[in-house]
Amino acid sequence: MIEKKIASELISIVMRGGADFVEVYSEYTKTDRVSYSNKKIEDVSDHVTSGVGIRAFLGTNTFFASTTDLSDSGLRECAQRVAQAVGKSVMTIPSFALVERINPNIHPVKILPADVSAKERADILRAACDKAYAHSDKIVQVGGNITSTDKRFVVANSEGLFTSDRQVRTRIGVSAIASNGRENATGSSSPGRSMGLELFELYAPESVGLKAAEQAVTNLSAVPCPSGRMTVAIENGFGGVIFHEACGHSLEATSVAIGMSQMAGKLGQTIANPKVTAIDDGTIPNAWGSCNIDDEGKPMIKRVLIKDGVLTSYMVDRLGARRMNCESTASARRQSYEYEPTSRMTNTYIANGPDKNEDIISSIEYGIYAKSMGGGSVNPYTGAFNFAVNEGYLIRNGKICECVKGASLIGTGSEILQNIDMVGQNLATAQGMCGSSSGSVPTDVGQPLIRVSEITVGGQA
Amino acid sequence: MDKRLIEEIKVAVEKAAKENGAEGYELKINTSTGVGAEALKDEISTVNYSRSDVMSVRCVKNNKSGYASSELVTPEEAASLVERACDNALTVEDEDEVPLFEGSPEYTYVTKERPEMPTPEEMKSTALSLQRKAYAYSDKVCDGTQCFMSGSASGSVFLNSAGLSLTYDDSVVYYGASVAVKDGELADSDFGISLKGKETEDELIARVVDGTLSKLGAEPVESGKYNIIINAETMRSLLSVYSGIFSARSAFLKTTLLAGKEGEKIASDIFTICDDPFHPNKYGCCPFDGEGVAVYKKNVVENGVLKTLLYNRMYAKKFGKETTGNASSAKGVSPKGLYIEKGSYTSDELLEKLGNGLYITGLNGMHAGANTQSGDFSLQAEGFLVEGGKKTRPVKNITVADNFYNLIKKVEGLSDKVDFGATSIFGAPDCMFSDVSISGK
Repeated sequence: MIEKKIASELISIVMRGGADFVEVYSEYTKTDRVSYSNKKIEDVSDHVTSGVGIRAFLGTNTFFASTTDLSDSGLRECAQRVAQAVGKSVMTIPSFALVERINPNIHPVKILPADVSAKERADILRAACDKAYAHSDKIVQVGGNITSTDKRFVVANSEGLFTSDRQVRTRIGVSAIASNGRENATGSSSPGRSMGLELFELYAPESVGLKAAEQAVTNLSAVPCPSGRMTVAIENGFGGVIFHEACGHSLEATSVAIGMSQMAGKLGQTIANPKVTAIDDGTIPNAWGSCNIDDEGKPMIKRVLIKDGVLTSYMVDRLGARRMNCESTASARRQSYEYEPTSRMTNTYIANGPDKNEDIISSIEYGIYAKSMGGGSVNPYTGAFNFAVNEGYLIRNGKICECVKGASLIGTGSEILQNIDMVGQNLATAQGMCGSSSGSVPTDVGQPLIRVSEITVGGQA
Repeated sequence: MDKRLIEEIKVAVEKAAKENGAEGYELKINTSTGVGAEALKDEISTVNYSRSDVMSVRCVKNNKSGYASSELVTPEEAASLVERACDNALTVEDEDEVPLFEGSPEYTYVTKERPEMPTPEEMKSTALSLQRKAYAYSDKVCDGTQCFMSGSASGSVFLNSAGLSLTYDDSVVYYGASVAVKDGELADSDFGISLKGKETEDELIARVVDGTLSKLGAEPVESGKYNIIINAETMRSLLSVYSGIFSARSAFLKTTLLAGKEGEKIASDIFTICDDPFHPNKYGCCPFDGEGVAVYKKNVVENGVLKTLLYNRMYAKKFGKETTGNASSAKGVSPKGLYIEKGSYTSDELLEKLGNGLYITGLNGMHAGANTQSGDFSLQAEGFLVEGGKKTRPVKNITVADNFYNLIKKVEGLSDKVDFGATSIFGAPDCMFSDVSISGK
């Protein structure tokens, strides 16, 4: 990891190029992975991510370079490239002194990945996958992996910040395929946390494998989903991807600050049904998307984005704050040193509402119950979003009926927020990897059961 | 890459392999340099540079392979990688079925012009020029529009203890525009890139701005069954998502319904899919695959018949076949230039053949809405309503749903140009399909 003296020198090199702000980010991450397929431990591997990213601002313009060459000359060349890109060459630079800040750790780790052998991790994974096979003779293939990351980084900047964090994450993923000889159906389960191998004290490996297998077998009996506009009940946990895609990305300064969001300029306005309160909270202990500090070194906070339907906050990073003339909300995140940080979500969820879950289902005469969601995507400028239903059922006369396959839900953010007209009380979160301009970062999505009064359902029937 | 450093790393790996009791090793070193500049409004908003090196080691111990990789490319780290890879091999249960590869009789090195990396000045001036042209092209182009120029150069070194030593270098320079347009309450955006020199700046801007403007005022259509054309750009994306169904690994794991169907009819008579690493419209042409085997052109589907799956050496042995030069690694399989063969219709003639239906120009959410195991997909789409062989109005907020295995049996026509885009290894012409489920109003 970079030392204070070297960081200071690199900042000075770039400042002499005329930048008004310089930041150095140094990272060392070890990733360990065990993979299973075809009833065997197929692969065991590890990877070291190691490098430095240097970023400069001049007003709202940014200049960035990254390198894996950590020799003194390699780091100086990296800084020189940023200085040359700024291109203003000044004789004197403002004085600064790097002062180390130590952050409280609110995400304690009990069992570090480095302290668990590959064989022990393989045994855990095998237990999960064997359970999936044992569930049904219709299960023809099970794949799985356990991935642990131990990330350490230092961030230093020309305002004198010198601070660091260590982020440990562990996740297991199991996917199962059920077949009747003519058709295949899939199921998956993939819990994770910002913690070490104590993850398996929260989730018995067998329960993860069983969940994947049950979903695959259920989907094998599914009939093609009808299409058209209808009422949809979306279950808790990964159902929260609807808010993540339909609204969350449109509240990131990345798009808001340059006017490329349908939510730009709407602070203080009612943008959702009054039953909707939405939160992005990076401080939840050991949650998948949590951090002690953001990737610009700012202590993590909880952000209330929508309160009773009213837009109360965007998610803002340092560059977004400059462009929007406001404070950063500690929302800067990056996949690695190779990416410039930008505003991103952490653990984002719709809070519990006033409606009873049973009332939500019984209120629907004809529609879809989306029990398990897949991922999705959004165009923040138009608000057009889409996401996939991994396990869905028809609702007739207030009763959950047959399983349906091949369904997706589409719409626009502004429309869907108004159409969430019932919000239940069983808030739960689930884990995902969110992709954007600063790479792929771990995020939690979440919500209780909700009802969307009308949305376009895409299906084959 | 520094040849002395490579030699030092090779020596360190050999020594460590011997000390750790490895029966063999494979060493890959990849280096890449990237540059870029982006304009926002009327000024340069971002300039960036990246240098990224990565080294990966596969060690065979007790006839099993373990892997380790690192971005620290030094002899000391190389020795550590060997130790870690040997440790990792001890937990693996899958035995290696083929020895390390000694080399193909010959390798095809196609001579293509490799562009020089653009200077910061060239990138800034090109990004600003594109930006000015975008705003000048239409008064509906608005702030949020961003134009850019980027380049990257890469080098690969492949060595193994069976005596194989291969290298490959490549580079690419391209520019592009992310365009936002607004007309009263109507707004939309789109994105396009071009290899430097393939399209002029004016041609690129005209294509992207015209494409974005043509989407304004889009509305859904009635739900129902439609005949559709999926345009080349969108079709190659759909092909890339489903390319795994042609993998022998998928067949072995029973995750593709094409397992055991080589020689059988799986698609429409007019449907042919090739894997050609050297297709002239495609960027890049590395002469060897992830195991060091020479790559070559082969028909995967020919006139609707599945001729071959894609094999690496391990799955070739499992199925009693020859490798098709499609290893991504000793255990993985990947296409090298997979494309749908062109047909005989011009794009306008294909629209005439469609008569009434939809011309699809975008499918979104493929990472989630396309199930590669079952083949089912349901994807948010945009495009145009086609009436009497002409595009009559833009369409959005609809879904296109079908099953990929079923879709390729319903190919009704193909246009006469295969498009690989700027840097894709997947290509397609415009493809017409019958009787596809559309959800809209």
